[in-house]
Amino acid sequence: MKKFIRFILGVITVLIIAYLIIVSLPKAKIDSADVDFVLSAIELYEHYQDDETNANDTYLGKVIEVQGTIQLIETDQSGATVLVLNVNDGFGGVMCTLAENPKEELYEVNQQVTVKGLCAGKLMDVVLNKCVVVYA
Amino acid sequence: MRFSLLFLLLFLAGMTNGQEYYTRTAHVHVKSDNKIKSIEADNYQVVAFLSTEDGTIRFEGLLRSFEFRLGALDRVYNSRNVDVSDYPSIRFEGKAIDIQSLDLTNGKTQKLKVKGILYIWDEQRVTETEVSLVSRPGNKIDVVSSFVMRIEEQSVDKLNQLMREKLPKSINVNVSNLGVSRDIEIDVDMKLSPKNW
Repeated sequence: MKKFIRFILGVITVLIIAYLIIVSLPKAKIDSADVDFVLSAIELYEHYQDDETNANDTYLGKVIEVQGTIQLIETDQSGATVLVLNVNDGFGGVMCTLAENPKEELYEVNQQVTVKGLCAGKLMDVVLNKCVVVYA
Repeated sequence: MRFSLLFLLLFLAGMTNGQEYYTRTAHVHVKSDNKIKSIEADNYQVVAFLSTEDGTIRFEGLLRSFEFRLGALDRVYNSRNVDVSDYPSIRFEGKAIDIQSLDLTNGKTQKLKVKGILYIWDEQRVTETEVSLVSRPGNKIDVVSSFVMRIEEQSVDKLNQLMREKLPKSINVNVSNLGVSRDIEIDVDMKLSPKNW
């Protein structure tokens, strides 16, 4: 009987530990992820403008490194810094939401940057999430 | 002089009443309850438009931009195995029924009824809700709304079928014995600026 109680307690302990591990796991990050595509912000945007279905098949959920010039800097409602890269369109751009805010104001409009992010598709802009700036 | 002033006031009133507003960083929060832990996700890259002329209101967010609050789920969702290319976005297109009553000059909170269609996955759902609007300095408008989307019986059957196909036969689970609520709570928060292109 004692063995059975110990077994049950062991199982419950394992389940609690497993639950705590799952609940406390950090969210997805791409800092150390391999880059699938390297291209300019203009090339990425033009691919989406030309054929959105094909571009989604190519880039959706992939890690992309884009080079471009900052057109606009915004802060979203979660407080994250959003860099919109210029694509000479006047309407859209490549929107990069940074995974972590810089400790000081490192970026400015017209600055050249290289950003790595996870491609989510296109709305007004081509959207890259969980971004890290690899070169500024 | 009096005529010019009147003309200017009418022109400005026309601009205020008939303007388009937008944001590329609206927030959509979704929540679904189940027996173990509520599942909640946020999307902060939602594009939203409002026309104060004809009451058109629409928003669209990419499914891939949803960030789950539970880290483990967020990792699974952002893995390469999850394919959302068939239906990459969630979108709402509707109209404020009583847009004529909108008064943006006094800055107080106003409520409007909105009716439209919510497009999510392969579902189209007629949705009627109430939105709160607050005008802010700089000709900006905040729009907030909450509504509940109920998963229909046929969609529950589709989910159960999918689980039967993907899980081992020995695991006999379905939506009801997992305690998954058929109601999905959706909150939308838009901070709109005048559209200037």
